[in-house]
Amino acid sequence: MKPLILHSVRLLKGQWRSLLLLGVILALSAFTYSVVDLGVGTIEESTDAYFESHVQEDFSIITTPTIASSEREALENCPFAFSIEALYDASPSCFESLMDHRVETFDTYGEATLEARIYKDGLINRQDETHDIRVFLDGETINKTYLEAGSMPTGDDEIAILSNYASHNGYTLGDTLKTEGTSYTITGFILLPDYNLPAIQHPLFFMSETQTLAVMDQGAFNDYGGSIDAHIAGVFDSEPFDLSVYSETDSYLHGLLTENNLRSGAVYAEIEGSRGASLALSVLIAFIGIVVVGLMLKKAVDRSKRPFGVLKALGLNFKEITLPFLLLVSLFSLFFLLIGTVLGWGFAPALQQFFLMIYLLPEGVVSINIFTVMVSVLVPFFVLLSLSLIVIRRLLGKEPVVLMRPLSSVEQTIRFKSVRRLLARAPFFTRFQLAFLTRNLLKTTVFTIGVILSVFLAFLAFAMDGVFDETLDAYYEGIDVTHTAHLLGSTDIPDEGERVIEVDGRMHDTQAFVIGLDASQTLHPLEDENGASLLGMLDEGPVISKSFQLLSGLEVGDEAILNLYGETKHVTIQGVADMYPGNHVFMDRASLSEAFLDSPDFYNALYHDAPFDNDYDRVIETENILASSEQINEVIMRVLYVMIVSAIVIGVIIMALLTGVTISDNGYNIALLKVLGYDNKEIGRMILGGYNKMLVLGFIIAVPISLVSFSVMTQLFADVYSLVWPMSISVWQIFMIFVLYGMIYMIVAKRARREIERVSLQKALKIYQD
Amino acid sequence: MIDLTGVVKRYKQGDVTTDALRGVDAHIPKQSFLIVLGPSGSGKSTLLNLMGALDLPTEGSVSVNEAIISEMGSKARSQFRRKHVGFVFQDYNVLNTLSVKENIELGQYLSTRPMSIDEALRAVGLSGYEARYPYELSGGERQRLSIARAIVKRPDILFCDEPTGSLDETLAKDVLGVIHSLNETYGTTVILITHNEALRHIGSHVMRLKSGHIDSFTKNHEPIAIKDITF
Repeated sequence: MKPLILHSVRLLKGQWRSLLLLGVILALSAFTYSVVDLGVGTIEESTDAYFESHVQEDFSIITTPTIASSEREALENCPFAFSIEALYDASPSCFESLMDHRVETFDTYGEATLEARIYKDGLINRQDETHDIRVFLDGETINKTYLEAGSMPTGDDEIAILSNYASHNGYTLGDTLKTEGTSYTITGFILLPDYNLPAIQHPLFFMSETQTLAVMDQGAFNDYGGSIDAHIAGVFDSEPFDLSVYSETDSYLHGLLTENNLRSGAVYAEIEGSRGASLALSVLIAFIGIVVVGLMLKKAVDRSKRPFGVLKALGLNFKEITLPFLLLVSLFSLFFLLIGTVLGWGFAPALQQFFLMIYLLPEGVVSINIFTVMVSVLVPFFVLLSLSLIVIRRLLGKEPVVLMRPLSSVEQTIRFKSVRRLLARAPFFTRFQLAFLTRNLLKTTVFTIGVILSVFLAFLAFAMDGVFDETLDAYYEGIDVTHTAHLLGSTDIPDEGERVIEVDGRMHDTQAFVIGLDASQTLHPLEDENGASLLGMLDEGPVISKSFQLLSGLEVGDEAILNLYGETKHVTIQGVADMYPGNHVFMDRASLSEAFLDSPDFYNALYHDAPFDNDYDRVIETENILASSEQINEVIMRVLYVMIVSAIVIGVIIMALLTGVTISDNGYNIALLKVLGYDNKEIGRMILGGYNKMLVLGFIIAVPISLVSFSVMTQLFADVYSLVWPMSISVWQIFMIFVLYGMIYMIVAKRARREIERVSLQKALKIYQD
Repeated sequence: MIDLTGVVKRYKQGDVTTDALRGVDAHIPKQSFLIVLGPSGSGKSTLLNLMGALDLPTEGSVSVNEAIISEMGSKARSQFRRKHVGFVFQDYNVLNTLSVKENIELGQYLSTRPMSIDEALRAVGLSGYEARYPYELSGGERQRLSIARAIVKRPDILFCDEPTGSLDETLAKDVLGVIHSLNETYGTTVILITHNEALRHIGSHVMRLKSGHIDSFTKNHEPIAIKDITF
């Protein structure tokens, strides 16, 4: 047994460089899966538990900031107030009565548990800057506060804030936080499960560096000076229902399902997507690793055929001969798969923190579990072992006399003879390159698949980068609106900016953000992909954004039902605007106002290309949205870098491994060509030149595969997660990646040529021809 | 043509040093048909490697047509082999993945004034075999193919290392006839290494090696026709 083990060790030892690269591939495969599964998967578990134990709302009802006359009737003995804020200023208890009334009113429609969510928006006063804060009372039955550290505030000068915000700004427990002119002691770090809340500037973002949520007890909350607002939080009692049932109430503005909120619904989409993608990537990498193992094994076993034949002739059985080989392969692959898994385990907390930067979720406990180990280690290990057995049995499971015969590559040659004949008139080097490629078909296939995978990954990274550019940056940079004022309940509106309607609704069973524009307005261009203005079409019917088209599946000319303010209208789609701002539907303002509010003059927002001169209920600055986008972009860029580096690593490993194995396999041919008088450059061209062509071929194949995949993924995201994720790559990016891979190949080929130089020409003189 | 002066070749493997050649001096005339004889380990293949610019001597000099190949670098020796030298090996050393024609093209590509493929095939008696693959040929035919590949570039010197070692007598005579005719038709200098004593009669010169020394180096005034020798 010992000599057999030594023989196997020496056979594999000769290929230590290839083995090392192979080990890296196996480790990378295990790492990719385990880091995501342990890092992100644990968030899913803790998130599920968190949302359930702290009763995350299923929906929010956004109510009017004004008090309807029917509501005033319910507020006996309360001072007159037009807005809820004025009512609160005059009498907090009357405000509470109003909220109770609203909850009772809504409660008569639909089967759901409802609770008023009351909060105050204020500013945190720091030395040379101000940050936003939204202060809550702890939820009673819905959206209960999750305490991450410390204790809940109980005194008039106590507050609990988000730990994300605290760590970004250097706050620790016991520190003082000054907001609206009052100092508070930070007693705890909290999370709030209602994800519709972080809508301080824009529904999509939450900037954890400059914004925080907070809770106070009733007394401190009453004394707090920020401006008050509220909405109704709800949990479905049984089956979900259409929130438009609430539209019959006077205070209903619109309903928002939590699962449709990117910051909430996307948590699961992101987690599931990341796990799925990592598994797919891991399988692909493992597949390449397994094929390479098969190749190397075949080569090593091929070399040992004759000695194995002799051993068989001596009376040793198949098991005795192959066991040392299998043992070594098992130990080797197990070692690297374990290394990858352990590294994944080690890096999982960092990946989890990366996710928690975006989503306000509790940390999950990263601990190794049997399922992860099974997928990342045991599955590839047993596949490898089975493959090794198959290869060894196929090659060595023959009679001793057959094994002791000289080797021949006749079969492969016959197989590709007809293909070769087709290229009989091709240039000299091309034919020889083809001869080597067809002789090494498996290697050629693995090389090409590896290139396709690696290039696809690089394309995916660039496509991801483009998503944000296309969805938000391009939209906000393409319009001239720098400030948007929301006119919540104001009656006396100054004449400045351009009048618009912004309202949430539904079209074709898809949540829609309807914007009413005047055809004469100048700040919000509306163009198709050819640059032609679509504003003139608005009086005929709605124009939808590309993202809404993706979500709803509507096309130009389609009829659709639009639900707004509890009313239903039939409309015909007039055009598709070349923009991805979200689920936007554009309509003529006057027609929209007339259709749903029986008056052509309604508007509830103003667009302006400069700061407003007057005060409005809420002003959103485009600059702030772009700044938030930039923050998210930074996160995306980090993911992009990781993906690019992974793509390059896979590309380099595949190229280096296969060119190395090819040179090693063709040692005799290289030596013979040297003897004949060919120089190293010419030999490199003959033996490796075919890989240039396979690189180009792999790249060409990767382009349509990527484009089709991105299109499918975009549609899939829209259909399954209601997320607009328009992935695409430009010709310029394709060219850049091509140049990058060309350069990588040149470096790898240079290293390979050095190996060719090292092949001794003496090898051809005495070696038995293979 | 080929001059060997005080050629020593020493191999070192671990702590063991082996003297393969121990001071060889010889002059091999142009267009000669030299038969190099000697038992295993006498230094025949080492001598061929040195004369064929495949290896460098430890001491002494090797020159061909006054070009000192023992002082050439790897690239220059590669160029030298490309322009002046052809090799035929015992194990044929043809590429199974290439057709007969493509194997010959491997040699043809290296020359600026090569023979046509047809001429090379005719010279070795393989006309009509262009599209076949080496595994479709007999041993003798494979060796002929190897010779065709070597001569297609019109080398000045053809080195043959045991070219008939793997063949039976009939096929061996067939191959030797081809090599001999090349020497006569194209004036190619042939250096044929063998341990087969019977071949001493067919060359114009005979060199005998023994333990790294030239035991004898004689001119064969009356060579015997190949068909008349007995193995």
